[in-house]
Amino acid sequence: MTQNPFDKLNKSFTAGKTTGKPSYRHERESQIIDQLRFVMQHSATAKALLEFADTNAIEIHVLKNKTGFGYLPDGSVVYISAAPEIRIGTPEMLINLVGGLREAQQETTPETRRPTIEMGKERFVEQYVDKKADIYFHQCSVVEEIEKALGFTEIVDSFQAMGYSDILEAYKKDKQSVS
Amino acid sequence: MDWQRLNREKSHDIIGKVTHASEGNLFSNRSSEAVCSSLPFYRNFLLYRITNYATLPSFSLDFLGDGNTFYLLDGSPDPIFMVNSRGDLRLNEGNILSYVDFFLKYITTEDGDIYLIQDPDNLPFLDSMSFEQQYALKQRFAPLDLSYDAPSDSYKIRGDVYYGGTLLKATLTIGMDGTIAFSDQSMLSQSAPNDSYVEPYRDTY
Repeated sequence: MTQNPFDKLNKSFTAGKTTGKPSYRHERESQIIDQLRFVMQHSATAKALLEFADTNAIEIHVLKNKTGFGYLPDGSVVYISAAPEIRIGTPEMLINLVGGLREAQQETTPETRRPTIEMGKERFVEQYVDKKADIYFHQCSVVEEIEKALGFTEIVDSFQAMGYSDILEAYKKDKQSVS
Repeated sequence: MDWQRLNREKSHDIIGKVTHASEGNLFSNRSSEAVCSSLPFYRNFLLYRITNYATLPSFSLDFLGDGNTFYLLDGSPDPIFMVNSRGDLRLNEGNILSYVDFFLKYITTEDGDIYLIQDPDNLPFLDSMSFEQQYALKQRFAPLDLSYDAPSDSYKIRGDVYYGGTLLKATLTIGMDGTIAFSDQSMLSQSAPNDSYVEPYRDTY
């Protein structure tokens, strides 16, 4: 018997929860964070970011969302997202979490804090570019360290699928030229 | 989407209610702004977008709200069904396609996005297909066939659907409660977008 390709789709279109207080948090938030933390222990860069977060009581939460993101609203909480049907932490979430934690760390020093328009256009752009480059550097380091430690090539594939192929390539070239 | 800016007071009110509902830290009045857009199939609920401009790039989330209650559009059908169950949904021939578009846009599935193709020249994934594939799609494309089925009190749309990397012809049945079911599928074409295509995420580090 041929399976209807829409069977799974129709199932996901049925109503689940239609009452109660709305919650933005992912149902498997704690499991997802535990998994990401476990994998991050295999990268010195990621481990240091987690230690920074724990020392400074920076919360990590997982919101349900269709689009993947890492988001630091105010320096005290890092939000990452997972589609509602996701059951486990993914490389994309890990990469977004690293970005959020590094931005939280940036907020602790005036030179790397979020720029404000009062700084003037030139300084604003400069600080913004520096911040992004620093975040990319940390994400590339973590991707490389985890790939090496665990042979986990999926994290490289995910980083590239997020549109960062050129950044990863540039990072590797820079590293080669320094060594 | 035709977004309307809210005045500062109204924007702060919406942000306060959204953050009060679940996440106190999510948005602040100081750096965030709310805009809204009416949806032709809802009587009282509007689509709200709240954006934090302090982050780089700016960060947005979308909600359904009636001014007091706000549901985060989180990729599951639950928030849409929550609003539908409150009796706010009014489907008719004039707004049924808008509802289907809205529903499919905000829902995610294990196999990725699903599109009901209304215009083969205006598809988010069109550029990722080869010229031969685009040509094949345009040759085989048929306009949507919309009808009302009185016995089941539902609308039926027969048309081309892109789902899981495949182009299919299928029938969508939309109940008056807003539920959507797909059936009667037949293969239109293996679409196979280019492997090299990547879609950078909208809000990400």
